[in-house]
Amino acid sequence: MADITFDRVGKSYGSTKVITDLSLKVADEEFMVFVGPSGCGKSTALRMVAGLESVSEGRLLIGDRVVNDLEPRERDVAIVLQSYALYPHKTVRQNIEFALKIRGMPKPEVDRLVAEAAGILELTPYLDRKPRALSGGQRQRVALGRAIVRRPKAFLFDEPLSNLDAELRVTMRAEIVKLRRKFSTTTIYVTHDQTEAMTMGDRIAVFAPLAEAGASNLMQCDTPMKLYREPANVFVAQFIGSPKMNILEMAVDTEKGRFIADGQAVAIPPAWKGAVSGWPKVLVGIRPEHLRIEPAAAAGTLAAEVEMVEVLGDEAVVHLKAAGQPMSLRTTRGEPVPTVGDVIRLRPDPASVHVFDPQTRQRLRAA
Amino acid sequence: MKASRIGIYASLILLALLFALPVVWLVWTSLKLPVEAAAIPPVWVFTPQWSNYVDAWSDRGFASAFLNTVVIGIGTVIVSIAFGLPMGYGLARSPIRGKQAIGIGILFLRMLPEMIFLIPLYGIYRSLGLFDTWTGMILAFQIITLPFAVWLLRGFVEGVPVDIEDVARVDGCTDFQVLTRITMPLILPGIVASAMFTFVSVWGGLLFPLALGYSHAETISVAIANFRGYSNFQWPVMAAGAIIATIPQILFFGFVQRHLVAGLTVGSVKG
Repeated sequence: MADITFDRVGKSYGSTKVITDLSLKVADEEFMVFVGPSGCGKSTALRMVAGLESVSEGRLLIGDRVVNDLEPRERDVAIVLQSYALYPHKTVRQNIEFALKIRGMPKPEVDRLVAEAAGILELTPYLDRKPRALSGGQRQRVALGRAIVRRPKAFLFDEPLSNLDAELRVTMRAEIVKLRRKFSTTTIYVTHDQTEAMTMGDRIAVFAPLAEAGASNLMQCDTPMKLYREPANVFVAQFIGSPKMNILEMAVDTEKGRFIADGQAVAIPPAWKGAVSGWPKVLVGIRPEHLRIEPAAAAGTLAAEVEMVEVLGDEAVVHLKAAGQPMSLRTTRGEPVPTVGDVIRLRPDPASVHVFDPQTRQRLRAA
Repeated sequence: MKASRIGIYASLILLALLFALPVVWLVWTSLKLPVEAAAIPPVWVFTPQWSNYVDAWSDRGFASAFLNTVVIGIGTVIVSIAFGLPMGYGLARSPIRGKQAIGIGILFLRMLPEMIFLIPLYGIYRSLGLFDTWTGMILAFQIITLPFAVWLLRGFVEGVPVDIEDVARVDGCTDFQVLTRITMPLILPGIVASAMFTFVSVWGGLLFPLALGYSHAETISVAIANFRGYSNFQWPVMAAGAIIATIPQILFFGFVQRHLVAGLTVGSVKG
């Protein structure tokens, strides 16, 4: 077991910078999720921990040891990849025992550990099969077996569930969480799927491509609920949550305590009054699930025209145009679903409004 | 059986016979007397002369040429694979710039006619004492076989997902162990195909053995060609020699056939 520290880590390919100034500490036994869109450097960061990519700048530590120049085999980590990457010419048993054998572990010990790992992952009946004779889910379990059998200092997962169908993904997600609880091993899990991130991680590190991120790829690292409730910037606000958070550019009328856009006004929530004072304009963020439909024109509501409706069973996602800007709304069970062309009135939940600096796109501090 | 299927089988049998005809003719000739072999129209009924095989084998230098070819063939295969595999692996995996150009350069060597190497090689071999030696012949054949092995093996290595090698490294392998324990077993069909082509190139190669060998490194193709006399052609003995010469190739093909088929069809279907 060990913690993993990125200390101002950077990665470049020639003159192209992919990661800059990444500082982050994954605590011992923590389940950390790296999430972000394609090209944000999350997989590269993970591969640097594994030793499969070199570190161009800064220091990378596993425990107290700087591992920048260590070979992958010297780092005592295990990796599970999206493609499973099983050894196709070896049986399930040989795949699982390979890492132990290559380290020269005595055979009785190897057999005991392989039997234990196979038992945990329900692979015992398949031990003598080749990977090609297994289903996708079974193959991914073999990849997990290969990782857990070694009791490494850290598990590294690089989008391990992306190749599985939706149902299997949910099952395997639960299985990985259970495994991790059983072994209490430090884990870094890379995904682009925010549902996976929110449901699995103790903490989530949100990455952005350098072009969007500016100084560092790391936009915020926090618990799932903190990211949802207090996103540090517009990028995180819109990346976490589905559908993404509505961001409206609005003028601040401090005197009357209103945000105004396109002639429409909503009240500034009391918690934000001090923070927005003196700002001519701000970005107001409100999640689709935090907007309520008002029955009639009322003060402090926004008029919005319905452009499209996606009914998802109990709830519906309504795409709208309000104050000249696109928005979306998520209705909850029992709420009437508007139809295309309707003009409805929306009231934001004052306790769930977020405000961002229009220049830096960083969150303003509420009182 | 449908008529169309009968037609397909009939044409396939006909095609097979067409390919078998020269071999049948060779076996046929190898059992005749010289006068019967040269007769026009051909003699259809004759007493088989098994002694032609004994004559061929015991002819001056034939048996030693056979041995030379086996040694040079195996030696060439070993050198070609030993150098071709790391070179192919490097071309497939290394991030160096211009590796495409290096690859094309190597292939270009293969395109050059063997003839242009002969005179410089002859001079070099004379001064280095490599003329008419197994080592010299094995090295000369690399001009033909090594570029081919590099290209073939490079393609096979590229077919092995890098992820598998990455996981092996994290699992505890050194780079050399990745190559020997993971990549090599996965590209075995490529290694076998490459070995096969190399062996056949040596077995049938005439130009290098003719120019760079004399007696110690004379190969089977030169020995068979030597059956031509100034005044007469020993057709039946020559045919018997050719039959003997094909035996190792047939054995080798039979032995590696399963891998060879996989090697020749790699990439033809989605894995």
